Amino acid sequence: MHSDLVISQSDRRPMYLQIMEQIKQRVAVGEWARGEEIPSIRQLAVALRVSVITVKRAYLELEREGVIVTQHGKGSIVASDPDLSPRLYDQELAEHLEQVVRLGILLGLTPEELTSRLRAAMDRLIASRLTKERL
Amino acid sequence: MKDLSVHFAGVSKKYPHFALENINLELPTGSIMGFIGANGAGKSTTIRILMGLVHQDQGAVHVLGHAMPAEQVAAKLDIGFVSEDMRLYKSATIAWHMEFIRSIYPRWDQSYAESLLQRFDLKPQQKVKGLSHGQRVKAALLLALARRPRLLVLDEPTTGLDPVARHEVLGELMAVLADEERTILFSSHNTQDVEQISDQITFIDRGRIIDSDDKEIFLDRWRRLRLVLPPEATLPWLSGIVQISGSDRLPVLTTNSFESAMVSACHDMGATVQAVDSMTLEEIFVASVQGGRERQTV
Amino acid sequence: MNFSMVKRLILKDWYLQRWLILGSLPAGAITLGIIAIGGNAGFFLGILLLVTVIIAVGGQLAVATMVSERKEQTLAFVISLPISYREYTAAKILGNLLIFLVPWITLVLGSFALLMFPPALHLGLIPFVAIMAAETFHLILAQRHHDLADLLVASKNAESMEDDGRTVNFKKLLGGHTLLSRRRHAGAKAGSGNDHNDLHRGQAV
Repeated sequence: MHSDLVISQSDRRPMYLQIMEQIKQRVAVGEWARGEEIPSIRQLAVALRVSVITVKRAYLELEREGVIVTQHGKGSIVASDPDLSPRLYDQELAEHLEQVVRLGILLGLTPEELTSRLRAAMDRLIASRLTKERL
Repeated sequence: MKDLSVHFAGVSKKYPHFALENINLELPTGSIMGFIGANGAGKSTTIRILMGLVHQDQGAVHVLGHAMPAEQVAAKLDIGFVSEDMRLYKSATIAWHMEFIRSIYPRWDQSYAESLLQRFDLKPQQKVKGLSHGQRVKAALLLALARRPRLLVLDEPTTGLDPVARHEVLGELMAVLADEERTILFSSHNTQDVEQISDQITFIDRGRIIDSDDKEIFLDRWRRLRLVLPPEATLPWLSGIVQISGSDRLPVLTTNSFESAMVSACHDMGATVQAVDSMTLEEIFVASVQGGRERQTV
Repeated sequence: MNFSMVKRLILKDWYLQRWLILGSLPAGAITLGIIAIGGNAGFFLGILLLVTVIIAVGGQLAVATMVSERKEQTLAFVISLPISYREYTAAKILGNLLIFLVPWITLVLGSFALLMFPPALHLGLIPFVAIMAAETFHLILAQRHHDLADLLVASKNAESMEDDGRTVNFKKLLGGHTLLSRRRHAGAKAGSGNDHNDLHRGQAV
């Protein structure tokens, strides 16, 4: 079960975020069912060859977000009503948007110019993804 | 009161051309500490003091509760030690070494040893002199692991191993930690390995500990800020700046005490933050060392 | 002093040198055979071979166990076992002494056994062998102390290993009086710190 998680070393995001994301995906898809027991922090650390402290951090964050519940001394289970809202991504998006706005101001762009630049970037991204899929 | 497997307090050791100064180290039971330092920085000396093989000039050393080097025999019964320059007896077989260790350590686990033989792809009847470097390292590790030590001390355990062997060894090391009463201290040049599996990380350079902390805290504290300064503006002051690079208009600040409030602080001081980059452990180590050395010469 | 560990270390050294130790027995037997059969020429040749075998096995072999341990870098492996430098040194001294004694006793006994054979020429063997044996024994002990002193000097400034700052007390270890002059020599050597021996390395990191 836990050997399904795959950590990518080339992914520059912090490892605990990768772990959190994959656990949330498993919960969302139903592979890790509500109320079901999940591997202990140590078990997952050993399976992933990742430090215990990293897995601990991921579990703490997941508990804060309401995705899992840790029972003291008994391990962790998937929450019966897991809140899968991507709060973390929201925060990241907000930070990036702030930077975009700041750069826009620096370049002297109007809000309309900035918006059209954003749209163009989205179009490019979607186009390249479609190209990859076709390949 | 934390249960510490390894405790160094104010340890110093002088040699004619090198000195280890004021080494403080705390390794809680059940964790794994990565020890990073350049060649000649003092890693091996520290490890030898830990093993009771070298007597410190000053300071207290406790390993698994035993004072070193006075109680080294009791401590070594529970320690598995592998160093990169360690060699086994060339004319003897792996099986002979296994039997030799088995006769000394009461907690030798024969079935575990045999499964390691398989996993490490070692033939017990093979003589040590016929082994490649990687096989020799794995054999020494097998001998250290199969005695089920409470503390594993490894000096460059993955140096010289091919990627597959490294992967196997890391897996075995992590498996040791499945038991939370067991602890690992390892020194390595391979910052990627250290970054991945360590709970704590310690940097050593020129005989001093230049930083020691939880890994996640290290990775959180260090950032590179890429700024854009308007012309005629001065560099914003931030806490914990270790390096300033880039150009006058496009400086890059390396800080070891990052907080997200710094971004708006920069903005308030007139600079635009173009990017906030996280840093790999290797980049953090190099920046730490360079910053530390600059401070020493100033 | 953990004698079971010392015993294990001695057995380990013997195992590693097993072929040389076993090889000395037929070599000694052949030598005695030459003395027994060869008449005058055989007698002198035999004596020479006798001494050679004793020195070769007792002397060089025993030294090799110590020098090779440092050269082959197996010292780290041994000293990481649950022993102290005291036990390590004790095992070396005792082990090497016993390695030497095995062929020595065999040859001495064999030589005396030859005395059972006529002609009377063999009677000359008694003082000869007695003096030779005592001298070589003396020589080996001196060599032993010399090498141990070297080991101590080396371990004081070892590039990789150090002892705990206290030298080994020979007297206590051998449980009585050793040849005092040899001990003084060893002590002087250990304290001098001046050494042209290749056992002495220098810098530690």
